[in-house]
Amino acid sequence: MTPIPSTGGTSSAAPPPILELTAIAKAFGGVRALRSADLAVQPGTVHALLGENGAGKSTLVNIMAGVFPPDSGEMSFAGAPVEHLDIQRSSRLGIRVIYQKLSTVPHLTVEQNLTLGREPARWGVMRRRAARRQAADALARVGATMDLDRQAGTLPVAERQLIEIARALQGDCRLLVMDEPTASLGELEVEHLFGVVRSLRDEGVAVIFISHKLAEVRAIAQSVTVLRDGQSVGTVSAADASERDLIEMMVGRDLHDGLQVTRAVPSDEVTLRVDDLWTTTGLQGVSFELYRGEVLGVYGLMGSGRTELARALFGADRPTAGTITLDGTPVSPRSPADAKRLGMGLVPEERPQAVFYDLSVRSNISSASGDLISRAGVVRRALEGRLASGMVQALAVRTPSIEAPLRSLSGGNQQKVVLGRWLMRDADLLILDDPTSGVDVGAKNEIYRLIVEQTERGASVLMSSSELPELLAIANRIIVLRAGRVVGILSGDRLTQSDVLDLAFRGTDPRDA
Amino acid sequence: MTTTYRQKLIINVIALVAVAGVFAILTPRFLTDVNLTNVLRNVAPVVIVGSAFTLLMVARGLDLSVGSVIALSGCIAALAAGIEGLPLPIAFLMGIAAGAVIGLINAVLTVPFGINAVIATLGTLYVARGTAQLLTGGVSVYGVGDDFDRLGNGSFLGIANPIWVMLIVVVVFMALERFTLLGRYAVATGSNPEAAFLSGVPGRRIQATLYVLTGAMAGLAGVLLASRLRSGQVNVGVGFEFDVIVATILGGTSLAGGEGTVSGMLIGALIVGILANGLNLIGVPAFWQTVAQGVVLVLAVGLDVALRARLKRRRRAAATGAGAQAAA
Repeated sequence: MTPIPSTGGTSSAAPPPILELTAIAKAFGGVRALRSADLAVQPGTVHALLGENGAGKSTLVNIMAGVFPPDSGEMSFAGAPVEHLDIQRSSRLGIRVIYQKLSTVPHLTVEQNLTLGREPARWGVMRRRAARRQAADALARVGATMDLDRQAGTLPVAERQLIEIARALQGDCRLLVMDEPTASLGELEVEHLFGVVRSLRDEGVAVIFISHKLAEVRAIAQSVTVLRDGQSVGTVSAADASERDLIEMMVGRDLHDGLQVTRAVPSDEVTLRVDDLWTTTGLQGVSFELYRGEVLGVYGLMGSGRTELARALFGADRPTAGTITLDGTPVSPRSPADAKRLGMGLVPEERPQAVFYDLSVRSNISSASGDLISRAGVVRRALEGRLASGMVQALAVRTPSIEAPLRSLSGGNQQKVVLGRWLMRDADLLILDDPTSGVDVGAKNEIYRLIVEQTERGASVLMSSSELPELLAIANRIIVLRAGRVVGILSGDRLTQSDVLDLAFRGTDPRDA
Repeated sequence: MTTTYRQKLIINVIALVAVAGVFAILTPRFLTDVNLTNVLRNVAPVVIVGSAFTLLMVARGLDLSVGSVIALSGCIAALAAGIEGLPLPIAFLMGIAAGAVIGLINAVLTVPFGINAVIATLGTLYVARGTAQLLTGGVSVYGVGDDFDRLGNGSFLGIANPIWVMLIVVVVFMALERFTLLGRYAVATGSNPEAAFLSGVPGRRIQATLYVLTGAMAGLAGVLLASRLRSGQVNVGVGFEFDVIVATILGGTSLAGGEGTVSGMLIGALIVGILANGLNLIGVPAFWQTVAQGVVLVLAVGLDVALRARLKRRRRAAATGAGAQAAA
């Protein structure tokens, strides 16, 4: 593993970098997405950006693309410092980003997609032939042949991706950023894509390649920069670093970074059994057991099926196959309302899906407990107020009153309110999908304490997180998901960062390899 | 209740008092028992339908068929009482039930089938009007009997019956809105459907219920109107849906759902009603009243947009301020 100097110029052999980022920091409402990231990309190379979920990759890409400015740090492009970058300016500089979520317009044809926004026209009238030539030329550059008149939405993902690359290359593209371009491609398609990327590289385009797949990174990239907790840990030559080396760079964090957790003590009684669960959203035969009083962690990279599992169990998506057994009885929740009646509670991944920002703390806490606070459909406001106040006290939610709109609370307190919604009904099975995302450390510790308290009264918890240290600290066991499958269930002394990450990134158990 | 909504309500109350004040000064005929009764009786159908319609819109529903339902229900009540000679309460109930049936059709089309509410209820708008024409052969239904008009033209304790009906409906819907799960869930579903769904709130059932209630209230308004006109009129209520929408929007109900109150709608309806009545009293031609109604609507919505933009700016300023502090 040979470290490459992270700043250009110090090495005599390397040409000056096309893009250079120094000490970039960015915080969102008190949560620090980037602390200090350095990145230097040489022209005519493929540079991989690697890191766990939440390491700050997307934030860094958005800063390069001019989506939002960094709080501090410097950026230079082609040797010149860049300030006040916005999306138009970054595009004019020659920075193009292909996001994971494709932006081809499904109802337009391939040709219309390729010429969108730069249609050749005279007096406002499209020049059909010129447009056709322009589209055909763009496609030729990515080595693709497809029917220009076909609707883009009817094409497979790989071809839509090529359209997007072809679009990005129009004009003067000097830096192409690809965010997980291989996430939904088959092996052959990946090969073709890599061919295109290599020929761009040879033309002198710099490519930033973001992927979770270590083998791909090593196959396509010359250098790799690893991000961890919003900091760049280092840049290495891809040829010299093994997969194991890269994983170690991503790990290596102080486990007890301010986390204070006492682990739950589970019983040996199985409360939830999931057998071979399939969904159209991507679960491919998930099976596991959850014990009463246990906190079962769920870890997986983006697209591994964590959220899909939570939603399927809670009846928000219907499974296509498989069985769910709750306390010995097979159940099939058809809706969240059903799941609620079965004693489940869900804290969804994204807070906007969970809360009513404009409604009061009281309404937010009681929103799942209409049955408890009403008689014959009439809300008993006094009772509701008492219950909500009690919850606010028990959870130490910091709010001026239960009538304050939820919007006025901090992220951590909003999250406590969402949790309180289910604690109010004494839910026996809590499904927590990344419950501490966007929450500061102090509130995190309080949330951990609340979770463990719930297990003490006999509740069971299925908790997924994008932050591995917190899962390692709180979970009794961790199931690792990869591409919709359980690739391992770890417990005891196997609850380590490297064991979990090995499974999550490579899908193999390091001890079998 | 959000800040912008409270501001809107305050502005509406001020606007109502101002409009009434101006007409009181301009003409002595405005502040008389007869005239005020007239105003209230005229706004009664809009308020009756608007009470249910407001909750429906809060829950992100919409019903354009209410104007046609008024005609259909009135014709059915008139036919039942006149041609069939059924007792009046039964005839009236049949009219209301016809409205509820159209509401149920709207609910089925929009909720389980997921047809866009504008399209679905535009469809039932035509179907209801057409059905009224089919039932009556396209001509108005007279010969309804002497007592038929007592509901619409009579009075109780010195107050006209339609005003009583309006008051009862408003009170019932304000109670539904404030004291029941229906009202609670309507707000939750409208303000964040996904969060409501993931809380296990039966949002679809709530929307369906509100479609039926809106249809039933349109049926009630249709019966009242038929009784007042002592006949079933096929062509009554054309464009009525827009009067209801104007009152509801004017009352501060958000087009995006999640926000709005029956009391706000009542104020909105009164502003429009007083404006029309006052302009009439001071001799402004009817055509100008229509123009004024349009101007008031756009002004009110423009005000809403301005208030929201201002709040957004403030919120953003506060957020960047807090961010700067955190960074420091």
